Amino acid sequence: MRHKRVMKMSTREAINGYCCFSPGLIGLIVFMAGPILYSLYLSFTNYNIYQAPRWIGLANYRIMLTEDPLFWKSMLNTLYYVALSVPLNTVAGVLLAVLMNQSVRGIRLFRTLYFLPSVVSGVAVALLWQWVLDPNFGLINTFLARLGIEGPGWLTDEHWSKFSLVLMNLWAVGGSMIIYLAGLQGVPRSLYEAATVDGAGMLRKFVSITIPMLTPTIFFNVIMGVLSGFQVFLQAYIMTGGGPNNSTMFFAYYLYNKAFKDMQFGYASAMAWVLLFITLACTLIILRSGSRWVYYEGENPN
Amino acid sequence: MKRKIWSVLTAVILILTLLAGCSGGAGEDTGNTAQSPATNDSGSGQTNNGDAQPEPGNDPVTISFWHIHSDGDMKDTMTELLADFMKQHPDITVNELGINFWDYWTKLSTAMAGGSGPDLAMNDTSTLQTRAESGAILNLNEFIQRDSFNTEDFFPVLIDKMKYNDGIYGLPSDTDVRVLYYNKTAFREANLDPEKPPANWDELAEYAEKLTVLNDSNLIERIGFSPALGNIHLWMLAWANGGDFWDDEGKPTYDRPENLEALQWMKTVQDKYGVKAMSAFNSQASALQHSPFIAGKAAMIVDVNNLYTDIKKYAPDLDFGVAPIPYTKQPATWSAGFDYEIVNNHDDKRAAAAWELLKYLTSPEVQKKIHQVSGSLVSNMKAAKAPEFMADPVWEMIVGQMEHSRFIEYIPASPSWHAELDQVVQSVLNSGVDPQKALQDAQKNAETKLKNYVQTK
Repeated sequence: MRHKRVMKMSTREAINGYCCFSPGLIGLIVFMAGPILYSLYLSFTNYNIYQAPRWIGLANYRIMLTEDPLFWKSMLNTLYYVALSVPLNTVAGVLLAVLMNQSVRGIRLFRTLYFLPSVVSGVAVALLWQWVLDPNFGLINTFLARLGIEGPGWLTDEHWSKFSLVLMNLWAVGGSMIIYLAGLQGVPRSLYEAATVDGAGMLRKFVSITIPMLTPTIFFNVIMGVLSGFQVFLQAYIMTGGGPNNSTMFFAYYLYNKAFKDMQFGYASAMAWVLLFITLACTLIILRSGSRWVYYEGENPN
Repeated sequence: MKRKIWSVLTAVILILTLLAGCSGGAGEDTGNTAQSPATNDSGSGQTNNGDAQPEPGNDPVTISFWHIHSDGDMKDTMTELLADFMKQHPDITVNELGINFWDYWTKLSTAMAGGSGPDLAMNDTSTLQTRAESGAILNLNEFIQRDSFNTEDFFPVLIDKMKYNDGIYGLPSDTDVRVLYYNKTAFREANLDPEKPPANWDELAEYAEKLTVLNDSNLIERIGFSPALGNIHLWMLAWANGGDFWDDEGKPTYDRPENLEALQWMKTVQDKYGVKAMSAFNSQASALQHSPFIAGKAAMIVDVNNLYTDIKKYAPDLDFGVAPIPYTKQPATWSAGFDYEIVNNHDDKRAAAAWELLKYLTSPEVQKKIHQVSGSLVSNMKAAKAPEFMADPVWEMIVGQMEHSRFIEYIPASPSWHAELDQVVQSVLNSGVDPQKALQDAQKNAETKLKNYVQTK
């Protein structure tokens, strides 16, 4: 009798649960899953948006992988961007968070100041940086000129353009800094106290306590960074138009051009699915590697 | 227990209101006969009504019109013009929507694909044939014949772009054209005759050298001429040299010797300054926020007719002249432009009303007004060549160049070929790629695209 009542309670709770999240679920199915699956279908078609899609099998994928040099170029550009910007952002984010975790007067003001750039609209940031990176009048090159160094062309030089965008992305490190900061504040004081008693120095404490305790947060930020890195678009769209000489032609920007400039929506859908699989593979690799370096409290590290 | 019942109830109510909200919105969209939702689904009832009264103008009709004037003088002018139009046609209500240039194309194409596009749309002249081919826009032949509408009022090069098979699928709104601007003061300084602008490439290069001034630190103070400035492009120079990038059958001809000569000439002119000096000059030019020609930093420049509007606005005292673009074999320049197209919304009545608006917007009086406000090169020759405008010798020269003007070919297999060609040119001018190799690679690339296009069509 008592058992039955418990079952009933749980069923009811389940129903409540489903009811409560059903708006989200319906939204997901109608507005996300539907279009996503439709784009998979479109990737096997020739579709110019005005006429009904026409089935062409694997042709889009074949052309993309074997006969489109710009596809590979844009892929390599994007990989370069991710490979450079994710580690740089991680290091900068952690260091900045450690700085912001000090108890000094006015630290809240500094936290706000460093977080601010990640609140500003991406378009505004892009336009601002276009000026900062200007070869002749830009802030950076003017400063370098004072030191007697001739700065590079940044966005106008194809060997520097991608790196310039990585550098610019570093400015928005405040977003991940906030998350690291939250992670840092979760590190128990007692660990540091115990280490102090044992005679550990600042560096030792940082390497043996702060970093390990922060690994779950780093893990999260790295995955998010990789995901957003593969979707880099705005800088190319606003600042460089993919140039010079296609050096900032990123995958997402090329995809957008294929869809909305060339009206080849089938091809663009196929590109989107390739991007999905590459992103998925990268994320899986990072997830797998997690067990080797991510430390969760309560676990027994070996 | 009670609380749970309440939460379930709330959830159900929330979902129901959500669904109701959706259907309500849909009902509003389909519009006129909102009282009986049952007839709303088909929409064919409405069309039949339209057929019964082929004469437009008795029943009130509401149409929508999208354009790119989202702010500034042209937005206000457009609103004024539409108010005037509705006064003349009391039965037609026009809902206008101005979307800024950058967002316009994505919004318009997705809305048209989803069947929620406007009745009359401003669009890109050079890509009309894709929409005509797919049936997304209406063939205007019937309207044109019914009203004996004279399409010869428009610049021939523009009306040609409106044709697909035997139909005319839109009417041109406005265009632009490139000419050579030269600074007469700089010409005098360099002991050149200010009434004798360069006519061919040799003269252009020679004058460019004489007109270039370096400052103490060997930076370019004033540049004579650079193909990297203004609005000159390889395709136009190639046309002027008797070359072409596509033949009449739509096959790529990138590797023609005339094209290579044009690219080599660009490189020769550019190399005189060097990549570094050029990029320094370019960034200086972009910091000026308007053309280096206006600032007196470039003695000669090839640019669109809008530069003339800017000169009048920002540098009214500038002593300058305009001339045909120097050429080797045949005069050449190029244009791009906007047109108006009636979107195929399967509603004869709205289409007929849209046609009235289309006629109004391309009429000489309205086009004159648009030219007065924006300075743009309107497509109706009766307006563009109106005596009051042609009294200005600069304008007369600009309009005269329409005779030699071409549009960039629309190649369905490679719609962005011109943007990609610009990158090829950059790789030659700035990154030292061999011109011949660059064009051969581009040729191969274009052939591959064409082959794949044919295979997947």
